[in-house]
Amino acid sequence: MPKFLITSLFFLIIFSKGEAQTIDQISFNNETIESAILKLELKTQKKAYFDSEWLKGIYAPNKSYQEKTLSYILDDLLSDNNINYLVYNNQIILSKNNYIYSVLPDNFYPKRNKNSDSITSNISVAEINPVFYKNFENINSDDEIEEKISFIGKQKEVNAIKTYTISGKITDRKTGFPLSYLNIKTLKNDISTITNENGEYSLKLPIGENTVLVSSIGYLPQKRKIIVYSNGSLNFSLTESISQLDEVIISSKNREVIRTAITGVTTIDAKEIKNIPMVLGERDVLKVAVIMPGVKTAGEGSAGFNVRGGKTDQNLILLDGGLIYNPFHFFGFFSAVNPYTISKVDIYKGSIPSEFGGRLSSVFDIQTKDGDKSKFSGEAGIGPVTSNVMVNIPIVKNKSSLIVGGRATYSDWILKSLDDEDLKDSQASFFDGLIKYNHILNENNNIEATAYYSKDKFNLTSDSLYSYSNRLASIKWNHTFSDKHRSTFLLTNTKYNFDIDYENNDEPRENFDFGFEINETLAKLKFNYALNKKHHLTYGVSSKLYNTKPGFFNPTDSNTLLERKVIDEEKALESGIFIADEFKFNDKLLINVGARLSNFVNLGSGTELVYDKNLPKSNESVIDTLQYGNNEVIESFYGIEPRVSLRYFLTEDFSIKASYDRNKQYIHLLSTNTTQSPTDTWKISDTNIEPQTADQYSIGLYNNLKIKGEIFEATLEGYYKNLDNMLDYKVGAELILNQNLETEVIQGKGKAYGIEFLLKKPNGRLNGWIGYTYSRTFLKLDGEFDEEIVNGGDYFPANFDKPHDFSLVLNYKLTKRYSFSANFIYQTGRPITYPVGNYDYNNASYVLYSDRNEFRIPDYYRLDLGVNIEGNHKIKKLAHSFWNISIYNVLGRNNPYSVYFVTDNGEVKAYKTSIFSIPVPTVTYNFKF
Amino acid sequence: MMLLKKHIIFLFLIMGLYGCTEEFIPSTENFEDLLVVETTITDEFKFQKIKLTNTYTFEDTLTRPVTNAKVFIKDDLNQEYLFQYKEEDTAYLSIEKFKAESNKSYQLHIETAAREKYKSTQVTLPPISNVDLKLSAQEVDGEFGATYKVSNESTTNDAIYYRYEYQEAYKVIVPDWGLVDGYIYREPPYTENYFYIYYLPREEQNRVCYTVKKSKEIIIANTNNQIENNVEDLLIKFYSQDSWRIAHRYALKVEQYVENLDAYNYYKNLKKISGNTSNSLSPTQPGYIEGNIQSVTSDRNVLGYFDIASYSSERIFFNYDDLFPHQPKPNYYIDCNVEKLDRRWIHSRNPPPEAVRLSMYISSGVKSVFKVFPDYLYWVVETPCTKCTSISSNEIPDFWYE
Repeated sequence: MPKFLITSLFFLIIFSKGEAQTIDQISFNNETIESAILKLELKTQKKAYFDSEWLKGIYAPNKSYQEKTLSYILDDLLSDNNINYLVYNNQIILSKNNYIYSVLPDNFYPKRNKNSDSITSNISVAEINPVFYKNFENINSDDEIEEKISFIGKQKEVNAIKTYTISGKITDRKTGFPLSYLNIKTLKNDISTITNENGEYSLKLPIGENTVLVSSIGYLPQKRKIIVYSNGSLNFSLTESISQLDEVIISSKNREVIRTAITGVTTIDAKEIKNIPMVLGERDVLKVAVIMPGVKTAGEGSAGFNVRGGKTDQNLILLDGGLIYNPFHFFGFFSAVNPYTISKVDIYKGSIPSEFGGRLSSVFDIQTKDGDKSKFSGEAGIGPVTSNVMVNIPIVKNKSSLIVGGRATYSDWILKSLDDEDLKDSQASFFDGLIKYNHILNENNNIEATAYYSKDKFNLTSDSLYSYSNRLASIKWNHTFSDKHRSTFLLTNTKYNFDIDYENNDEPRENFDFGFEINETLAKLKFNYALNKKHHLTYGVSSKLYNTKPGFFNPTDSNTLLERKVIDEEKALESGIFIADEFKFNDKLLINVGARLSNFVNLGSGTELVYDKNLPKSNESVIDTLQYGNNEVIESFYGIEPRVSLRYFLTEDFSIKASYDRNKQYIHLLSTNTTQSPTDTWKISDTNIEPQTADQYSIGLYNNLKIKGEIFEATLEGYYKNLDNMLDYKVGAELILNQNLETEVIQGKGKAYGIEFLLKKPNGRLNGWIGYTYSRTFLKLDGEFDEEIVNGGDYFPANFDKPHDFSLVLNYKLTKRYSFSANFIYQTGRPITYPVGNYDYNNASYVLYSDRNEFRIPDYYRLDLGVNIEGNHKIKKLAHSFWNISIYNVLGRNNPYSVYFVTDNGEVKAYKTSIFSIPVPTVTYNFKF
Repeated sequence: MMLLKKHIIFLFLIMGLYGCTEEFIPSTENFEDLLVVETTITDEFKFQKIKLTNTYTFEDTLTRPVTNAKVFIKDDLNQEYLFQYKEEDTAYLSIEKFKAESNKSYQLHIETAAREKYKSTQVTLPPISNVDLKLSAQEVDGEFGATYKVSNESTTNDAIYYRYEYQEAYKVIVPDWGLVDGYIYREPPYTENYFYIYYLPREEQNRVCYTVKKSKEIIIANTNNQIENNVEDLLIKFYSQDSWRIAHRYALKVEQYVENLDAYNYYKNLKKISGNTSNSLSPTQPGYIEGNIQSVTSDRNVLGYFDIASYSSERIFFNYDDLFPHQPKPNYYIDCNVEKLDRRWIHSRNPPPEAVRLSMYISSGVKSVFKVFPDYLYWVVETPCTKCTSISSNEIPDFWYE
């Protein structure tokens, strides 16, 4: 406890600070105070005690002293700064702000016998009005607001002046922009002022303890105890104090939600989700995302998210700015990013900032941790299926650091140790690794570089080995031109590929290797400019080059019977210019108006087919074949994508927002399965496949309620979306190795709407949230020809249309070490196409299917429970450990995931698949070092 | 810890490898009654066949044939080929023999008794290609056995689409045949304890039978990915050398249909959405498969495809000993456990429980008597072990030869 140490100092040091001894000669020339003090140390043979932090950036006057006392020189050296000193025996003790009194005021220890004091002083204690730290020890801490005490100015031995001037600057912690017209006042004396245009203020305050309150609509008020010794400065940065909250599930942005103009944004902070019980103990931010309103999956075993009625390919999933095409391992059971390396995820599902583009439904902006640049640390977790480790290595102290994270599964080992012959030959393994380097070049420049790789391997049948991998590299340079103008340059490269290796031991002539690959390189330059107190601009350009290998089929045997087949490689350039202005119309109304102009150019070389417009697209209706040379423009698309949102404060804690967004998507995931599968491929728009478009209108109410001293955050949002050119496929479409995909594709309209409600209690012993969503998504496939019509051309529910979605996440902290948590999830069953009859055909029975998605599987619900046990908090301990024991699906509910019908040996058989249909217990052990 | 390990194993069992997938008995909701048209008109000169049925519910077990419909095919020279319902075939047969010819296109017309009219698109005969069936004894998936493979040689450079059916026939010889058959006679008060047993000589030949079966799966092939436009060594059927079906004499007839692309796609889609091949975590999107027949009078869907294909077939016989010389013959498909029933026990009027049990099996037909010995001893065995007619037919197929 520093308070205690400082107070103790008073008991020990009760000697005069003056010393009669003189120094014959000493001079300082362009030196820091620190080196001056060290020189004095040498001269006087006294040991100096201080913290070099205090002396940073303070220079000694260029002077030389002859025959002066140590006190004289120190007085002179330290006259212009906040440092006080005491010379005691053979020691020079420096202190910041505090004056070290060598005598105590008479009334300090009321019971003390004055006669026993051995105090020598030439100053009468009665005359002075010293400010002692002890006065502030009994400050009430009933408020959640930070109670850090600031010392202002330099305490003087004799303090005749009763008021001093305190000045400073108030900035927004996140953006660094100065906050103008903010109110600053003291609690007791009612002295107040407001900040000027540059966020600066000055206040005249009485000596001693003062409590300063900074408040503004849209910011959490900040209260600071200060102790005024003399004139000084005190800066505030307003969102910083909010992140100091302890044991919060989803926190730091809570105030942001009310304040910003953006609708539909959720932030998940990685370190704050550790108490949520998860299957297999994976602390997985992407898995937490799906229990937030508006984000869904088709089921436990499906990769990908459906955000506000969007398809799984409509999410821009970014890791440090670089795109990850498949952010999942193992059919979606695990997310592909090591949870320990993630700092947080911002999910934009409503207004998508204009700097992002290319996906219709959402942006998942995953940010990795910035390494600690001063000390080595790490974190590891051991679970039943995977293990994770993350190590933080400082490279150059306070300048650069490295984070290395890795994760792997031991599933292969488990499979091999099984007795079952079939399973022994099975493979299922994955791993991922991440390296992040962070370097502060100087005050105005820093560089972040991230490299990431993930790989999955599995086989569904004994002769085919499936694998897929993500590879990503990104480098980011942040540059500050001035307080008002900053820039970020981002360069990323991403590769995603999958591969099927078929090996038939009986007939090697049929062996082949089939694969798909997509590679994209992005360059993006973004500027933030605070034009004036009302306008903050964000603008920039980005450009992305795609190279895809849509499919290759290589026979692997030299005597092969098979023909090598390669679908022409594709190339495209997607560019965007974006601008957004955060316009503060007045204290209540904030308007965020922006737009993105996007351009997509499909580049040669390539061959495009022209089809007869009066016939369905098929090999028979081709009327012309066009050849394009290298880099020749095959097709070009433009999109003007307005992004407008506004916020209006109804009261200080209650805001209303509305937004309109348009997004365009030029790249599409091809899938004939009802849910996303790892073997799905991506296709870029061309002359026959139009880009997808979405228009979203949303409105929301955001309120922070305070009930009995507890904060509740309530959010209610509604949206309506119009989708166009959504991709779907003819029944039985062949998408693999198809040079002319357009003959299998149907493009249609979609509409989605919903209401999302979220009530969060971010802190307290009992914390958590309740979320409820009502949402619908419909598609309409009404082409010109019969084969392009589904369900008679009417709107039908999409595969992931689950109207009711309820989630409850609770956390109860019993003691500092023990906490309990529970999740409850309820969802309407997803739509399926179910048989409406059987028929016999060619000696076998088959089922006749209903209209697409006419039926639903039974509703889904699940309860998970968890206990978290923290290791003890002894400071000396090498590692801080943390146990998590959880049971997934406690009720053992057999939630059907899919229902399907198979004709086997001529007979129809009905199957249903469920995942985790029994309670799954997990124990994981995590430790930090 | 043991529990934990169990769960880990369980997890991997369900995660896509085997899946926690269970079979269930579905019920029919919103039953849709549609016409099913099943036909393949070939280039063989014969009575061509068209089968019309209705869809049925999960609760029904059998399909209902559609009778009293007016069915005919019309070619592009306006010649009509009339069809008539034949009870014994539960199908419509052409009144006169005819064959599909190249350079002609055909259209199917149907008018049901309910005056619903259907017609197909114009369909032509695909090119002709002769099938070459090969039999060999070799290893497949680590097992040694008999394989039937097809190859063919096409005369065109275009990819050709094939569909195969097969018909297998095999001789069944029961291991415990006998000259007699035993019967249980129960007398009043007809309790299980009051019974006699008596025997009679067998009337029908039930030692040697012949089973004839048609393929049930859709076997298709195309030559898109082949260097030569030929089907080469496509596996049609495999039996391990331990299979009882090939224990004596076996024959497989492959029937090759050269299909049009659209017909091929129809069968491919049917196979795809009814198939077991996709992974259970992301099943193929099922739906109605558009064929080439449409209703003229309403927008009701029709199932099936009006298929015209060029046909060729080949049959190969083999005897087990010829294909696998000096190998022990495969065992019968079930274990035959001979039990003995002593008539004296029965006359005691208080028979031992095992005798009562056997008597029940004999009267229900699960087990049969096949031998009688003078000392009142009856030998009893599982019925399929002594009477092949219980699982097969004693009629010699007309194509069979030894």
